[in-house]
Amino acid sequence: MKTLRTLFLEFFKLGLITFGGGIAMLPIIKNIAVRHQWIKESEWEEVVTLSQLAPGAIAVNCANFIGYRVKGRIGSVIAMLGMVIPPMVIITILAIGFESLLEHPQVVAALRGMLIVVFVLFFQAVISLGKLAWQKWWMVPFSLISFGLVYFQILSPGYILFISLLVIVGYVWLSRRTSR
Amino acid sequence: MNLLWLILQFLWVGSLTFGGGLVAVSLLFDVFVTPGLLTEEFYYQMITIAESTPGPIAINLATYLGVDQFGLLGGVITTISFLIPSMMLIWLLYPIYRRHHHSPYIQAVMSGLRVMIFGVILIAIVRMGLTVIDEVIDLPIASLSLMIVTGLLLPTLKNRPYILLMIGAVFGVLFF
Repeated sequence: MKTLRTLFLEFFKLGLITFGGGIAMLPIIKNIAVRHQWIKESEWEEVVTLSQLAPGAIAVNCANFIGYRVKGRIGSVIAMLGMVIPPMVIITILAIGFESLLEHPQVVAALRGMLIVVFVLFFQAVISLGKLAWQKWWMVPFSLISFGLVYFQILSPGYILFISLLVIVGYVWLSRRTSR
Repeated sequence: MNLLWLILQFLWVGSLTFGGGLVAVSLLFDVFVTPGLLTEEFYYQMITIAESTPGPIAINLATYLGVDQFGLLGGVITTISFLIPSMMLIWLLYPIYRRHHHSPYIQAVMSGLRVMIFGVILIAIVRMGLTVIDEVIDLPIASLSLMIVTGLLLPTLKNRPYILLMIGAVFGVLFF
């Protein structure tokens, strides 16, 4: 019970104070998890890889995985709820409050300025993701194909990811069987 | 639009958001903006707010969209629907992953998927870029100087993006 409470509180604090999602949160999660001996320092790589392998927000997956390691399914639910409750409450308050605020030209102007900052932040994230994705030159056209299919509304992005997943898993599975 | 449709959309998006927030931005654009349920302008206002508040952007965006469509309960439902697929997958994948995490096949699947995902991420940034270009044409000096200031401060303020966003808000109020 005490462990569950600690899990909840630690991730609650994290959800309350951390901006920027995955990249900013991961080092902090690592510190907390190692300090409470929920994982060993050497296991951290494994946590990060699995969190990226599963869909969803990476920081939430991390909470999920660490909770699971510590206390099974109930642990993962508790850690995850701890992390998402603060942002959910904050956004709900803002979303309801903003409905009328969005009519003020000052607020709209502030948001327009902020969007430019968001764009720069995203742009920087895209560059580092690109370095990770394009490890060989022949990979570039594949990204451009998925880009083009969405851009010209031939396929929706969800279907592209779903089909890619099936094709890639199928291909790897087949090449594994033939290589035996 | 009904609640069941909304739940299904978020289950679908939640099970396909491989590679973090920007993928969710792209997928949710397709669910809400492409069919005309939300304007692009309002969607970007949501993203700006989601990025300026604590928590992962995908979660914030899911809550915001839910509250916008169905009020308080809507936000809870969309966020939980978004979370369920990844939670179940981690429970399912964990035992398999423990045994095979050194397998080159898992690495191969991941790097293959990353290439296709990157195309979907590019969509998000190009679409947003088009909106930003409109802003630059409208107010070239203010927009470009804000971009340059943000770009210069970014390396030092990487872990405190809210300071950059505050600068953006001040710039917006003063010059836009």
